[in-house]
Amino acid sequence: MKWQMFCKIFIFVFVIANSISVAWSAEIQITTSVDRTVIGLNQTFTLEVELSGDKANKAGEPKIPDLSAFATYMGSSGTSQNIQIINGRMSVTISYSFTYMTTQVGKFTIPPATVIFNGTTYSSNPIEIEVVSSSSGQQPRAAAPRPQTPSIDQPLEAGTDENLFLRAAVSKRRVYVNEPLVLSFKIYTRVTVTQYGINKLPEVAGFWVEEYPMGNQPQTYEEIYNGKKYIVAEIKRQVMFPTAAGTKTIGPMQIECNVRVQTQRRSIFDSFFDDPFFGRSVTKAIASNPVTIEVMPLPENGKPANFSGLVGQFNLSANVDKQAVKTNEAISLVVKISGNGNIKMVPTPTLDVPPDFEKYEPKISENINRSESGISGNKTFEYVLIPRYPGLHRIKPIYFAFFDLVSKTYKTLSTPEFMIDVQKGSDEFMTVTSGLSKEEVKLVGRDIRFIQLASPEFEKIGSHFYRQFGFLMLFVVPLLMIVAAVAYRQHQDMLTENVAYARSRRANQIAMKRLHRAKKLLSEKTQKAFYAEIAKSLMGFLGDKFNISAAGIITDQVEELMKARNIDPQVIQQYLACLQVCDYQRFAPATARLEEMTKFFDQARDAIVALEKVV
Amino acid sequence: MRGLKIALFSIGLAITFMALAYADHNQYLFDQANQLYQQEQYQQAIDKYLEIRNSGYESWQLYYNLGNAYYKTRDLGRAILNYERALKLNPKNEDIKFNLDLANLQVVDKIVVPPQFFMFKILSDLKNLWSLKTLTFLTLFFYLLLTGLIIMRILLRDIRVQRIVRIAWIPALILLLLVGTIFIVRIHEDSTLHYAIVLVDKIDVLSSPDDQGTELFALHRGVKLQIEASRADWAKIRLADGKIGWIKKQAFEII
Repeated sequence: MKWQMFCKIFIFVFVIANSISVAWSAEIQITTSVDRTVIGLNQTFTLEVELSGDKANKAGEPKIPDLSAFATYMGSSGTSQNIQIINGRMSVTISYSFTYMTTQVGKFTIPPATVIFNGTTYSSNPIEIEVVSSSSGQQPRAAAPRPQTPSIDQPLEAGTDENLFLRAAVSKRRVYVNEPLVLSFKIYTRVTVTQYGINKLPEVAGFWVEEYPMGNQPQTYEEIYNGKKYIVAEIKRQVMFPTAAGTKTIGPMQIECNVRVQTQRRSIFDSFFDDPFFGRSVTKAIASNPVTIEVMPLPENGKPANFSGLVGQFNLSANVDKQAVKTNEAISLVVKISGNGNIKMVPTPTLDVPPDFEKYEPKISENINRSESGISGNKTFEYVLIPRYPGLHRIKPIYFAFFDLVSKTYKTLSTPEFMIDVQKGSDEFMTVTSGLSKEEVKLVGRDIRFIQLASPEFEKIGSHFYRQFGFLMLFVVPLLMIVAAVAYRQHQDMLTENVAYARSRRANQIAMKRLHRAKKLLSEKTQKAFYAEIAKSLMGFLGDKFNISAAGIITDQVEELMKARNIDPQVIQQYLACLQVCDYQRFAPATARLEEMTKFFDQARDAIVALEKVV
Repeated sequence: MRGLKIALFSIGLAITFMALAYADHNQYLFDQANQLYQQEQYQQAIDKYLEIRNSGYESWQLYYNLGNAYYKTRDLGRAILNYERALKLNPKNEDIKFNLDLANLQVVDKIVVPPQFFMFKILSDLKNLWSLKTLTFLTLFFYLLLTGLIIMRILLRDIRVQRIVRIAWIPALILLLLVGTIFIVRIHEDSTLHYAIVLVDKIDVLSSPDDQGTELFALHRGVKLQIEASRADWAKIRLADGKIGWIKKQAFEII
C-alpha cells in the first residue's frame, strides 16, 4: 500500500516535471510591429519581428512577409539580442528590423511573419497599415511606434509631386568599366523648402564613388522643366566609376523636406501655434527616381599586359633633375601622370633602376579637380635615386597603359629613357666595400709595393720557345740519336758475337789491303812475291767470306765451295782463272813482263769485286 | 758556296746587333720611365712603358711597373690587367701578388668563388706553379735527361754507368711525365682560355648579344672575366662564380 502510494506520487511528479519542461522548451513567441501605422507614400517604415522564449536564439531567422503589393524591401536594419537569466530561467529576445518603403496608396495588411522551430511553425499577429498619398508631419524616425495616433494628415494645398520632386541625373547612361560618370541629385521645387534632410543615401553598389564637396547651403537657380519654372537646388553630386560590367541600378535617394505651406486660417490659435511666420511647415518625404546604367566591358583585343584598369585620357611625363652626377649624390626622378579619369586609382609605376642605384619609396602627391565633366587632376611620384658606383647608367622607360575614351582604344604611354652619367666622387677610393675581412681592411690602408728598377730581359711578345723550330729539333734529335745508338749497338754486337759476320765484313778490307801491298811489288824483279800476294788476297778473301781457314784451301776445292753457294759460274770462272795464273806464275820461271802483271792485277781486283757483289 | 755562308753569317750578325740595339733602346726607355715614376709623373711614365710594349717586347717587370703607374693614376682596371700580365710571366713573384691583391680589394664586385675540392685545388696550384717559359725548359730538361740516360745505357757497357742509369731513369721518366702533362695542359689553356679585365666604370651584362637583351647584372672596373665565345661586337663571358652573360667587347681587354 505504501509502495503503491509512492509510485503514484512518483508518476505524478514525473508527469508534471515533464510537462513543464516541454512547455518551457517549446514555447516561442513571435510578434511583429511597425513603427507607425499611417505612412506617407515613398516614406520608409520599419517592420520589427521579435522572437522571445528561452530557445529563441536557436530558432533561426524568421521568414519575413511579402509586402511587394505596397512596399519595397530596402534592407535589414539590424538585429538585436537580449538574454536575461532570472532565477536560473533564461529568457531570450531577438528582434529583427526590416526597412520598407511604401509604393502604393491605400490600406494594407502586413501578413504574419513565421518562424519554424522544432517542426512547428509559429506565426505572428498581422498588422494593418495605411499608406497615404502625402505624409504627415511626424518625426521621420520616431523611436517608439505610435500606432493609434493619427498623423496630421494635411494635404498640401500648393504642392504635390509636380511641385516638389527629387531628380537623379547622370551624365551618361552607357559607360565602360571605370569610365567616370557624374551623378547629381537636384531638388526641383515650386514651393518653399526651408530645410531638407537626407533619409537614405542612394545605393551605389558596384561603383567607386568620388564625392563633390557641396557646401552647407546648396546654390539655387531657376530652370524650366516640363514647361514649368522650378527652383532647382543641387544637393548632391558624385563621380562614379563602375567597377564591373553589367546593368547597374543606382537606387533612389530619399530626403525629407520641410515645406512651408500657405494655409487658410481656421482659427487664430491655429496660426498662432502652428506657424509664427504666417505659414505652416509640413514635412514631405520624396525619393529620387532610380537610374539604370549600362556598363560595357572594355574590349579584350589589344589589351596591353600592363593595363592598369584606368579609363580616360592621361598624359605621362618624367624628368630627372640632373643627368650627370657624382657618386653618392641624389637624383630626383619625377613621374607625373595627369588627365581625366580616376586619378586616385593610378598605381605607383614600377621603376626599373640599375642595381647600382639606391632607390627610395616615392613621395606621392595628388591634385584633383572636380568639374562638370568629371574628375581631372594629376598624380606625381617623386623618386630619390642615389648612384653608388660610377659609370653610364640607364634608367629604363616607365610604361603606363590606359583605355582612351576618345579613340576607344588602349594606349600605352612611356617616358623617355634616361642615361645618367655618374662620375667618381671625391671619396672613390675611400669607399670600403663591406664584406672585407679584418686582414683585408688592414691591407686597404697600405700602399702598393715599389716598382722594379733592375734591368729586365725583354722578350718578343708572343715568342714562345715551344712554338719555334729549335724546340722541335731538340725533341727530334735525341730520338734520332737513340735510333742511331741502337743501330750502332747492334752492329757492335754482331761484330763481337758473330765471327763469320765479322770476317765477312772485314774480307773486302783485308783483300784490298793485300792488293795494295801487291801493287807495291809490281815489278819484274819481285814478280814471284807479287803473284804470291795476289793469291793470298784472293784466297784470304774467299776464306773470310766463307768463314773457312784460308790455309786449308787448295785451288781445286775453290770451285766446289763456290758452286755450293750458288755463285754465278762466270764469276767462278773468272776467279779460278786468276788463281790458276797465280799458281802458274809462282812456280814457273820468271817470264812475266810488267804489262802482263799490271793487266793481271786489274783482273784479280775485278774478280774480287765481282765476287764481293754476289756474296 | 763560301759566298752564301758569308752572306748568311752577316745577316745573322745584323739581326743580333739589331736585337741588341732594340734591347738597349728598351732598356733606356725603361730606365727613363722608372725615373718619371719616381718623380710621380705617372702618365708620362705610362707612355714610356707603353712605348716598349708597342715595339713588341715584354717582361714581367715592365707589366708590373706599368700596373703600378696605372694604380697611381687610379686606373684600377688597367692596373689589374698589367699585374695579371706580369703574374702570367712570373707566377711566383711576391710583389706582383701583393699589388694585385691590393688592387683587387678595390674592385666593386665581390665575386665569391665557390670553394674547390682540395684535390682539384692542389692540382690547380701545381699547374700554375711555373710560368709557361719555365715549364718549357723543365720539360725539355727532363726529356733530354731521359734520352741522354737511354743513349748512355745503349752505348756504354761500363757496369757503374749501367747501374746509375738503371736507378736514375725511372725518376727522370716520372718527372718528365708530370712536367710534360702540365706543359701540355698549359699550352692548351694558353690557346683556348682567355681571361680579360673590365676597363670601364660599369658595364651591363645582358642575356643575349644585342642591345635588347635583358640586363642580368652589372660589372665594374677591374673584374676578371673568362671569355667563352665571341660574336661580332659581343663576347660571352663567365665569372669565377659561374655567372654567364654577354657584354660589349670594348668594355674589356684580354690579359
